[in-house]
Amino acid sequence: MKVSLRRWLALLFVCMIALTVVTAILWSYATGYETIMNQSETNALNCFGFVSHLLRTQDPSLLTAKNADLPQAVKEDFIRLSDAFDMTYLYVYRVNEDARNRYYLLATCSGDDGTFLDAMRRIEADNTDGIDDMERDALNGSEDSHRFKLDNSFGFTMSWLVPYKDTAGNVAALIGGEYDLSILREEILRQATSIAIPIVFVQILAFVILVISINRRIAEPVLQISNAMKRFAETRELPALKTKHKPVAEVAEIRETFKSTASDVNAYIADIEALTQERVQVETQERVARRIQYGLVPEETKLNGDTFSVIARTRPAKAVGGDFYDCFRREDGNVCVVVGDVSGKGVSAAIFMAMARTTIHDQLFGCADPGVALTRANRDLCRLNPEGLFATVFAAVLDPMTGRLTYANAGHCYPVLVRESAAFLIPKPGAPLGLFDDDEIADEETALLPEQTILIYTDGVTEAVNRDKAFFGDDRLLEALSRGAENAQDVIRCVSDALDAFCGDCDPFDDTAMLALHWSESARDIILPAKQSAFAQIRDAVIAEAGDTPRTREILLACEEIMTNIVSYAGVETFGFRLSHSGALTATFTDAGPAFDPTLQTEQPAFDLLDNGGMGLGLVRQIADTMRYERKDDQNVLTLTFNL
Amino acid sequence: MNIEVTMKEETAVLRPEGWLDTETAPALGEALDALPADVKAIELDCEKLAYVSSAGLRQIVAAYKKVNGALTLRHVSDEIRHVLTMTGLASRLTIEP
Repeated sequence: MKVSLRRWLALLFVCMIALTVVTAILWSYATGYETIMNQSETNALNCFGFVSHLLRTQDPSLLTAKNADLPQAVKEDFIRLSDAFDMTYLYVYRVNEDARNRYYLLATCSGDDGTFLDAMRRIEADNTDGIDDMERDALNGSEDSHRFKLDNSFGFTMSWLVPYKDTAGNVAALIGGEYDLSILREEILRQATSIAIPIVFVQILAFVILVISINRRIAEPVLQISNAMKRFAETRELPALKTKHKPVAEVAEIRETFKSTASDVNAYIADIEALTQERVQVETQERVARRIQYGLVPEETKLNGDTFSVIARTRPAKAVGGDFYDCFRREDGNVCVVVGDVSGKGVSAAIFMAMARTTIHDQLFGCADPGVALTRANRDLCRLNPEGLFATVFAAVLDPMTGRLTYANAGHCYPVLVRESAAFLIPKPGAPLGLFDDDEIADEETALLPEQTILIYTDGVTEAVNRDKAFFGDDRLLEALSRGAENAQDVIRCVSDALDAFCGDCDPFDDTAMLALHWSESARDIILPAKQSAFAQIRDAVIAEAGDTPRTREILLACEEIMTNIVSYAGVETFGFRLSHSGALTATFTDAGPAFDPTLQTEQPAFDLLDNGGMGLGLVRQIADTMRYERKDDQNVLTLTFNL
Repeated sequence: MNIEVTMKEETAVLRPEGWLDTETAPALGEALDALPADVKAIELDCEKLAYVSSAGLRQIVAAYKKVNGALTLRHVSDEIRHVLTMTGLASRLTIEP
């Protein structure tokens, strides 16, 4: 920037100098010309005056004689006069009466060696041009200086002409003088230069001062500001703009503005950082709360058994909520389901939810009835509840063999029983957990009908709003389920679809959690091919029911022995296998082969014969707790029970 | 089923791997039949044996008879030992840890 400014200033400077010089010359020429001319004229006229004096000292007859020739002394004086006035030409001449030519009385030129007069006389002798108007005018006595330019063989000169009047006042001769114009021109140029040079000198001086001044007070500060801006953009370093010389007012103002803007920007950024930090903290808290919730309550859980299936699903709302569910199979074979809703949102609600869920889980897992479990959980929660949160909970325990359902309610919304139609299950209302530490939540009992589903949910479902701010409500819930749902998946889907249709594109305000528990009748037989490969299915069923433990491996051994016997000796294509689990594990083998009662064989063969077999039934008898045989409908039915 | 067979002088060391049940027991039988005729003792390394059913036990008894009782079972798990006890084989077989 400095460079281009300098360049621009240099260009300006050069133009100004050139302009100055040209102007000075023209002006000098214009005025000088006149001056010089006038000066020259004055000189010439002065010279003519002296010439007149010189002529007057002479005898007038000398001047009028035909071939007059003045004395040498006069000629010499005349030459001296001409030199003194620096005349290029100086002459005195008479005009002949017939006005045809001139007769030079005196004539000299600069550098005359005395021969000029004769030379002029000779030249003039051949002249036939006559005289011009100016000469005639002078002859008539005009006192005018008769200035005119002459351009002839004598050169380029300016000449003057005056009449010489004798004592009587008659024009006796003409006095003329000339100055060489080229000399005059030199004179003019000299004068122009002598004017121009000081001016140019002053200009240069002024310009240098200007350039230095601009440099110090504009260019440098501006460049400094520009660099400071770049540095600020990179490092946010506050500008320390100090120069040796004070900048011009405008630039000083830019500087001040920049300084204040820079510190404003820094302050602003600091504010934003603080605000962001705060928000990051808040967001981190929310994220932690959400992770606690998701860690404990997965979005969907499925639990299946022989005679039951459970599907639980939660859809959290935007902020972290307190809905939770739990479903598991406990040691005695019963199925526990829990759905709860903690008041409030955020980290404290998430922690309260974690405590509630864990306490209830532990109590139920230890084989307590749901009412007892909730009562004990309530006591614990009331003790550890600084923020006064509470949770509504519905807990139930299902006996998958019989369909008997034991349940307890702590202020939760009523579940729905679904088969071909839907109706609410109305428990005792109960108070939510966390409020009254001496609260007792009662156990109640019912029995699920075969193929019936119980749907437990949170109020996020019934209190979902649509665009018109209407609630989904109990009626719509019943209606969605009244179209009949065959299993847990169906039930969940019916409600979800109805909710989605109702809410449209409204975001859910509250969490929703739903748990559907479906109970079917006692297990049916699985039909298996009578091949060794079928054992894999038996193995899967046993492990699914009772896990992979040393005891279940023993049970599998017993099952394999029975199955091998069927496969080897029953001569059938398929056989039936049923597994049920209610406290103990019960395995039932059904085949349509010839009647065979394994309970009749009580003794194991001798050791030596054992490589031919016979150990199987002995193992079964020792592993199974009871073994019962029945011949029914032309089928062998062998029922084994195994305590776990 | 994988059965690793190595000879240690005149003793054959068999190392079955996995489940020894009705389906896989014949493989053990084949491995026993494949042993050289002059084998004097058999060692059954049960370290990788997860499960044994009566079919497998039959093969064990066959092995016992093949070497006239010079059968040693090693690295028997508690469960398999329990099965051997229940069938009364444990008292007859040499079981070493």
